Amino acid sequence: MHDPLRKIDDLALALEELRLHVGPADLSVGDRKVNGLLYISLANACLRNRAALLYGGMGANKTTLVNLLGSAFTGLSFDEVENLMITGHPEQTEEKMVGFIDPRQWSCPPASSRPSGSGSSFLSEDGGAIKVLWTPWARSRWKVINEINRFPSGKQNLFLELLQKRKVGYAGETLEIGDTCYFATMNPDFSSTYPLDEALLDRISISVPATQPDFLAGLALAERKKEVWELAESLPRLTIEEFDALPGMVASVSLDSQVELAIISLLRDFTLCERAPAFDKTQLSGGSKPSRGLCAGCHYFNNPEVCCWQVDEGLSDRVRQDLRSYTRAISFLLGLGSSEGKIEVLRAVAPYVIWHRVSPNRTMLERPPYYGARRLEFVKDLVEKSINRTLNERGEMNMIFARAVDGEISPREAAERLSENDDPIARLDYMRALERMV
Amino acid sequence: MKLSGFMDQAYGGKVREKKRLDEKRGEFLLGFEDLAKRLKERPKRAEVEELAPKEAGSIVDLVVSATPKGRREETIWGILSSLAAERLPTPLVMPPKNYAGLELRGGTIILDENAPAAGLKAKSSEVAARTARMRAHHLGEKMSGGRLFVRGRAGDYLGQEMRGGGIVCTSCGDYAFRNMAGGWGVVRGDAGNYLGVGNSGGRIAVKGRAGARAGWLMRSGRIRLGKDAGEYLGIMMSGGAISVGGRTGARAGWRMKGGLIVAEGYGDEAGAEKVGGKLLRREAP
Repeated sequence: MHDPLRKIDDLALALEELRLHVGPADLSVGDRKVNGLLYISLANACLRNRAALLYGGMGANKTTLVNLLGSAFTGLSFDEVENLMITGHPEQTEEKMVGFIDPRQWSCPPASSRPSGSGSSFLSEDGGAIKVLWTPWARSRWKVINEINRFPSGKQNLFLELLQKRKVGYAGETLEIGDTCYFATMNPDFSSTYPLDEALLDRISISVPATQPDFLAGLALAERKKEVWELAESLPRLTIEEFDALPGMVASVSLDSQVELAIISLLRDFTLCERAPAFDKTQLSGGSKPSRGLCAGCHYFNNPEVCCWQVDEGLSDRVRQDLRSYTRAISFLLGLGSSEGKIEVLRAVAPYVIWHRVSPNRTMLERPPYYGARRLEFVKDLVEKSINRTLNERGEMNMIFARAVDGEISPREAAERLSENDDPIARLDYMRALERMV
Repeated sequence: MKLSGFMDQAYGGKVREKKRLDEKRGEFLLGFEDLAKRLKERPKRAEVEELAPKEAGSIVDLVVSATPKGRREETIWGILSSLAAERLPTPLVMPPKNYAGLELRGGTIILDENAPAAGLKAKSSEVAARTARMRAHHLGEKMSGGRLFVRGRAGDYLGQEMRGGGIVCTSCGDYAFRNMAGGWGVVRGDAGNYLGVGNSGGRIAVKGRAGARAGWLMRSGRIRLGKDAGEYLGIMMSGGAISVGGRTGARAGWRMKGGLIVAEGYGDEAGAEKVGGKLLRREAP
């Protein structure tokens, strides 16, 4: 087996040289800059059972890029990968996407004389197992949902069960497909699109904006001489073994304590709320959110250092898993597997994992430099604040709490010392834990 | 691994003690509209002062960038302009707007029609010129100290209810220095109607003319007019002194109960129905 990482590097180079994907180096990881759309898509291709959403206006190379990567990672031709894709529209149904009951089974001889089905367990009226014909998309381990926000809201619920899963179910039958790569694309809100449900957005692990080619990229694209499908034949391809080996290679990248601590603190910064049930913002419903006046009079409100009042939603534990996975994957892709500096990877990746899951405070978002539109930049700034606070200012309180948990000091003493601290994590998380320990 | 070992690893043994959240740094404001939103319907000066930034520069930024709409926001803006002037070591120079210098206690405000205004930048030059020509009302209202210089014409209610400090302007509209209890006002041109109505103190000097009913219900204080006065000068006044450099209009000192009016000449029915006070004629030089 060749080194898959080297092949992926060759693939990234080939995509640019063949003018199949040219984009700005907009993802900064420490001193290194790479194209965010490409590297986040590559990272998702190295992981399994995570879903990446490519978000942007029409013609921004979202679907083509995903299909090109699909072709390179699965070894299929570009056309074959394109055929596997499903596209959102109001007439799309579960039967067309996943599979349907084979009608031939009722016009055949009785079940006892039929050859056995494909692992069926659900029995039909005559006692035989129901046979489901699975679509190529359902059977594929490279699943692309094109234009996901063109599915009507009700039909979007179907993906709650599908995304991030290793199996597909229909009519009581289950198709075990194994670890799968999920990609989705969507446009901004247009006249024929539907808003995505919060639960579905939470199942989307990472979202990356796709922008139109800039001037230089436009010139580069003008040099493309052949059709995309023809050029796709020239891309380096991974073997099945290499494709299957990728998740293990990513998992072998270790995250140091600093990154783990920053991830947990980041989640708590977004989730903790003094006024929410159990201090958990994910428990809040429509009318009681920070944007609906929940924070009026709260002493954290309007403090720019604190994240809680600046976004409506808390972050689920899926975010923690996604942050760990994508930090590992990007570290792997950039060859930072064994070196330090993964905190810089986390800084770069975290906004893309979070920004589609939260609704920023409108007043803050509408101010310069965000102008109501630069939501990703807004979340980037919040992430930066949270990580910097954890690294630079939470050391003392974290050490006090840790010593109390380890029994080096009494919980009462720790609580007394932490009571002087106004940090939300100290007040709402640590103090409660210490009270339980007393 | 123990949690303290995990934390030790995370911080590499370097723990900073500085905690920014512990510091009280005043309210974080997103701009004038944000400040206005967080105040009640009729905010007092103390409430505005509590929410406003502590640094003079930040208040000035807020004042210059604001475009107050409606009476409520104008009064908040007026108080902010006074707070800025009080905290600045140099005079605050800005274009005139309604309620500038409201409840001013110290410092100096210079209202200059030609001073740059952030809010006018985006407007066309014609709109900007028209805005500049509009007279600002309620300037220096309720002030108790400091100085207010208006380079141009002041609107109505200039220095209303002032208790101290001084105002200088080129000319003013109606109800200037109404209910004045202290301080002084200088108008270098003409004043409108109802100058110094209900005054119980203070001094007013107008170099030019004054309109009708100057010194109406005046109880104390002084008014000096350089040129002629309109009709009903000092009507129903009970104290104080009015001096007119030229002639008064009709019915000067009508139903007067006290005080003194001195003029070079009087119109018809001067001192009609007078019960007290004096009307004196100044000898022409």
